[in-house]
Amino acid sequence: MRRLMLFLPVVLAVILGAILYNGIGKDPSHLDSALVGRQVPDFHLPLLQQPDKMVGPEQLKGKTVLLNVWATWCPTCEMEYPYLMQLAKQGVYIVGVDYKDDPAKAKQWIEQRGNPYAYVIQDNKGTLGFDLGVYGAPETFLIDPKGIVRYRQVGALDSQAWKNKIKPLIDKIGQGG
Amino acid sequence: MRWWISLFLCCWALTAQATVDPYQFDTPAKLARYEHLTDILRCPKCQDENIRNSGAPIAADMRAKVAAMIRDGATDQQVIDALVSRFGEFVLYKPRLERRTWLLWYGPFVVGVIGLLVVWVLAMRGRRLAHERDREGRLSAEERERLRQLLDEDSRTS
Repeated sequence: MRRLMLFLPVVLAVILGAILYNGIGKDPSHLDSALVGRQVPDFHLPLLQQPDKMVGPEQLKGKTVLLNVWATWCPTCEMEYPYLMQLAKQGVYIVGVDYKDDPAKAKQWIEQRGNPYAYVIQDNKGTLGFDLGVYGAPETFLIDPKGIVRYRQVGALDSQAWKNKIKPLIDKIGQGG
Repeated sequence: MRWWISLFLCCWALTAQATVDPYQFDTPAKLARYEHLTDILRCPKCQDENIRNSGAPIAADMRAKVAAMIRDGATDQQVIDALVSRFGEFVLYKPRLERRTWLLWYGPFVVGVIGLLVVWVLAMRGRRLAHERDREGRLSAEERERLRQLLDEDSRTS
């Protein structure tokens, strides 16, 4: 018994080591969204390509939507863009939120690079972004047909995030989960 | 020299100005609340700054929200809840006390109590051992008598 007690510090050190090891490689800038599991916040904003048409959260319901918050001033958005185009070609329904941006520049961007979006919500002042808890573009939200946020991707959407996180969730939503 | 000092002071004043927003409140109490709230809320983008001192655009948006809510008569708790519901509990420098954060809040006290217990047990054991050793060192009356006899015999034979 006494001899076993001598190993107690070793055991404690191993436990502490395991806990700390778990934290290695975690990206501290990746915060969980407070919004996951909740309804998309209310908004009333025009569309980029039809500025006279106003849309709200009901527009996002009825379909599984990938809501991509982007801006022309954001270099990572440019990096991510070809992948969005690829997903759109595969038939993924992507809605854009043009965040704190100049609509003219945004339209030009889409003309030059192609359009992966079903439509783009124009959020000049960043109010929708703020309500979504966006603290830096790009961010992408997966929204189920009931309008509930299921996942949030901070930073560029890439094939890894798509395969490991988003695709499995879309499949689950498709099965009514 | 004087010129250099004045130049230096100018630079300093400019950088200090950088993150001060022109928010006006009708009472000093509201301004104090604004300053307090922006002090205790953390910027989600630049993770080691509160929103009052941060130059990030999102921190400016958050300050605007805090100012607007205070002007509209919201309580401190309502302002905090509004920001937590958007950006998560990360924005609180001081985590809330709830089941999930019990370990965080009470963990140090638990570890401290365990430490005190260990020290106490070791101290008690040390004292008991010292006591026993002490008693072993002293001889009983019988033993002393026997020792005297042995020594006597020894001195007689030699």
